[in-house]
Amino acid sequence: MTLMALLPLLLLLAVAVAVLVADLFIESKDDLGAVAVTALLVAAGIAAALWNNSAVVLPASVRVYLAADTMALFTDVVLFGGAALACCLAVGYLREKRLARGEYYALLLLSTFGAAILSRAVHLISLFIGLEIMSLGIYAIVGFHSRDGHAVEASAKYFLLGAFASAVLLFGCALAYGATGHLDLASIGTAVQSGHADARLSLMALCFLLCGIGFKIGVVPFHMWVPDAYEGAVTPTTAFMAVVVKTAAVASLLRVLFTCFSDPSSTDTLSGWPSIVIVLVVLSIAYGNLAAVHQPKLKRLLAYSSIAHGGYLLLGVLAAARLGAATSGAVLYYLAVYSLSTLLAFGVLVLLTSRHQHTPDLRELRGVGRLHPVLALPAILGFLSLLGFPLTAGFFGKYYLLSAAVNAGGMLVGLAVFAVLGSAIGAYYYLKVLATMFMQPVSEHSLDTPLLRSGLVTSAVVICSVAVLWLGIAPSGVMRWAELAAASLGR
Amino acid sequence: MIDAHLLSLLIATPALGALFISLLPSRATAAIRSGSIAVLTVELLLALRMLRGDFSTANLQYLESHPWIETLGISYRVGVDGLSLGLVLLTTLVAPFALAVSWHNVRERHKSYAIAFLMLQSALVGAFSAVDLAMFYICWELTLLPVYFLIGIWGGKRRIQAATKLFLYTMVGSLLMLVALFYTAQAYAELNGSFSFDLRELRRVAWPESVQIWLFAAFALAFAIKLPIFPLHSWLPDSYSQAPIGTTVMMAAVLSKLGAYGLLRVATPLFPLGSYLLGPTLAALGVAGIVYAAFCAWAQLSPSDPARGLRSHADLLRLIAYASFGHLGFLVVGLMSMEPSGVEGATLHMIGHGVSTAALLILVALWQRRSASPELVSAEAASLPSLNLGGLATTMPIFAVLMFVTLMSALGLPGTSGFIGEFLVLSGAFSAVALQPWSWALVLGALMGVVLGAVYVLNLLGRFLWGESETSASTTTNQNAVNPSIQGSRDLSGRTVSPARDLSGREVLLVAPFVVAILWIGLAPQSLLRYSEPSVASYLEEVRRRLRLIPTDAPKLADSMRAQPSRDLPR
Repeated sequence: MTLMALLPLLLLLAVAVAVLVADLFIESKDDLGAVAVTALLVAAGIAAALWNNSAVVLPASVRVYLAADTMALFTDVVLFGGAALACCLAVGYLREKRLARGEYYALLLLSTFGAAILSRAVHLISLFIGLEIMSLGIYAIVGFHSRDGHAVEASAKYFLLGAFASAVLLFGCALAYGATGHLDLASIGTAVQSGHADARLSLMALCFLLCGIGFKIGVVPFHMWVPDAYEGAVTPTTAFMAVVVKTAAVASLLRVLFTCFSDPSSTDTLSGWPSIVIVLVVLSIAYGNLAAVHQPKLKRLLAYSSIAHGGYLLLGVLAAARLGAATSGAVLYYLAVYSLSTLLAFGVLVLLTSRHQHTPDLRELRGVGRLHPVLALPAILGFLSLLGFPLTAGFFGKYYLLSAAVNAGGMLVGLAVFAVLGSAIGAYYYLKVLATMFMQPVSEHSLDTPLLRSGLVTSAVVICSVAVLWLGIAPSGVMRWAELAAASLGR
Repeated sequence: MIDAHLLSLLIATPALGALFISLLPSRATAAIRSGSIAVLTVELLLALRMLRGDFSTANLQYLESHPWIETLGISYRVGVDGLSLGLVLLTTLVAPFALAVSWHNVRERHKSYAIAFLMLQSALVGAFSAVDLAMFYICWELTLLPVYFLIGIWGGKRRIQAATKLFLYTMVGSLLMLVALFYTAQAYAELNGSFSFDLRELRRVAWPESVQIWLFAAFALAFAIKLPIFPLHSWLPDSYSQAPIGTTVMMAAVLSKLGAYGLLRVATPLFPLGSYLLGPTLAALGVAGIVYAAFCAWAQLSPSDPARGLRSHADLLRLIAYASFGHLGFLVVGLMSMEPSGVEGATLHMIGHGVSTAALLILVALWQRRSASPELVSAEAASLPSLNLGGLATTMPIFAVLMFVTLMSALGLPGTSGFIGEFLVLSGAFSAVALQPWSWALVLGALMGVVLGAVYVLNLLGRFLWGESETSASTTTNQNAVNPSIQGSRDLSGRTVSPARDLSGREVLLVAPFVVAILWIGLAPQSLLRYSEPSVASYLEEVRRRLRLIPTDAPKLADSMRAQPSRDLPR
């Protein structure tokens, strides 16, 4: 029972293998999907149950590689919950598109497993392995619709760029080892702090690691793959990527930055890593929001919006750099909120899916809200939450993040104003989607197919809607957890 | 029991009503209509209970406070005093009537309309009664969403453009206000060790001058967009003319006051020095707005070629939008004068302007019912000849009398609500130390605006009541006489031949409360000022006290303020 703390991960691994085997015998692939959803939910439940269980300690030999702190549990719940909801969307979507195959769910579970490893990694080796397990699964499910040229193109593009980014990350690991003689983050941190490390080498290592992880988060200038991969992938995969990859990568970034490079000279706004991150924040917010403005394709629009959200997340990281790692609760909370809102937006898209139809672009959404009034609540909640409007989860996410940035003071106040102006641009394109759906009259291009009928999809959308509304009204509990999770990072 | 939670009840009633309406089948339009109006009537009756509170002091009445989000220090905290009482009452008074005249434009999706309208009401009452800055911000933002959908779904031809413009304008201001809010909260937390957004607590922070200016500017920008203050008004004519008329009533009569209320409740008390230093600029912009709006309103009548003016109902609404905008300029002048009569005048003018605008727009709505199809109501038909409004004095005498009183109030005739508020504002501004040495110029400019206002109001009045009547016009021009036997139907050019039926009893009831209020405020303003006086006095006392305390680089104006300590302090 010494591995109790890793139980959720081991469960996913076991179920993934079981699904792969069962795929040979079981005709109904939907059942496999349901098994995957159940496994993810149980894993999330176990992670939540371990929350206050201080008796669960990993043996020292494992502790070097994987953390089992509150932050790991928090990201576990976000990852597994998000993956479970994305998996729900996948079951309905793939059946409608006649794409249902068992390996999809196995790959999805394995990717989630990799993401959980990545978010827990406190050693450069486990970090790299986690990142690769996560990515390999996703490369495959991005190109899952193998008869669709776009999907194959997206997958190839994502794979090539991803392999390159992995190489950069690996090189960063090697440099870090060269600079400090250590591979585990804590020892690297001690070496950097005590000044035993070669300063120039460790700066190089930091830059390479930032590039590698920044690629997975999808911030400018490492964003090239995002619009293509988001658009080409089947919609539930896009949702999965947006939620799981981003959460794991940001968590791992927090661990690397605040364990290895948390000494005062590294976190100095002008001479340390924040100066690089500031550039990433400014570029991501500006580019993501501006590129989304005239984007007629909804999935690309959400891709650009996810780039902008990557910028907001890094703004929270900057705030934590000034106020101390324990204040990165805002980033963790934002991850949870962003995941829910994105899943809701994609859930609405999945509901509009039909067999012979490509993913609808904005023109085809004209007046769709009039044809399907049930869509009103999820669509309004989802897009307003992405925009950060009061009484949706997104508002307090943004509120928490921006107030952290303003509290950090100095240059970050200016960045907060910049972020706010960026989200005002965001308001324009999110509202454009709502206006198209609910205010424009139905035209001859409009989708007139009935909504997707699937219990799992419907319940995923309902759960997300309720959660978005709930976190918009009573966010205290989750905020408290995010704070506690961040506190473990500060230790 | 009711009294302990009166404000919460006022906030919750429309929201619960919306929930109830959402359960009705969408075909049951009659039930939806009467149900939603019943909810708003209950709301009005509840609001009237507030008058029993003790408003002889400046203390907040019906105060209620619960922790909400402890991590961030946000509380649910509501209360009313003399400054907000009138506005809550105005909101609850206008809403049922505004909803009642809405249905003419709203031909589909009645249920969603009623729900959005009720949500707007909840958010408005919440914003007017919030004593917690974060809660105020949330309610402030929430008012925007229903309006966005009300305009965007049920508005005229260019509704989406108008709604988006409104949303983006307001959003930019609000988001900058949000950053300023964080800054304020942070400074308070550094001083006191814990977060609080209680407006009364936040006032204790003494800000250095340079910070005050920026924070005041950030808050004032949001409020200036909402009010609006010249030159941030360009969303206003579009929104007013494109919105369904019931929504226009709410926007003109109530929502615009939210901006002025923000200045009065949030920006000036928190940052008195910022308000003091930027006040003259704001007041000057207010006066510029008064004059500019008068010209724009006049231009809608196309004075050089009357046949080309007022082509559509949208033009008429545009004219009213500019007229309303012009009168809002007085609020800024009054608030920034920091004189008892100026601020009292502004609080009174908020109510006076609210009732007279509501009356005017409701009358226009009733007249629209008679004269045009809903499509045309908002059509921008360049090819049409100008609207023929005339001759109503003979054909619709009751309508004419009500219209006359309302327009006289818009003109600022003594004895109506339009006069007393503006008079107090100008008399306050004239002697205001805060606006020296340019106060005389501001007053002169505002008076010029009043004169210009008279020009277009009288012109409009003449067209409405005594011009050529529509039927005679159609026979003389022989243009509309396609089938004169079908009374009330649309002719080929899209206009209806007016059946010239006077207002029915029910329709009179829709306008009467507002016309009575116009006369009442005009003739017995003291009965309302009684409620706001103590609050205004304590508000000014507080602002002045803090102006003296603040560590400043001793700007000249603040010195002159100190030199006359309590010249005009509470009577």
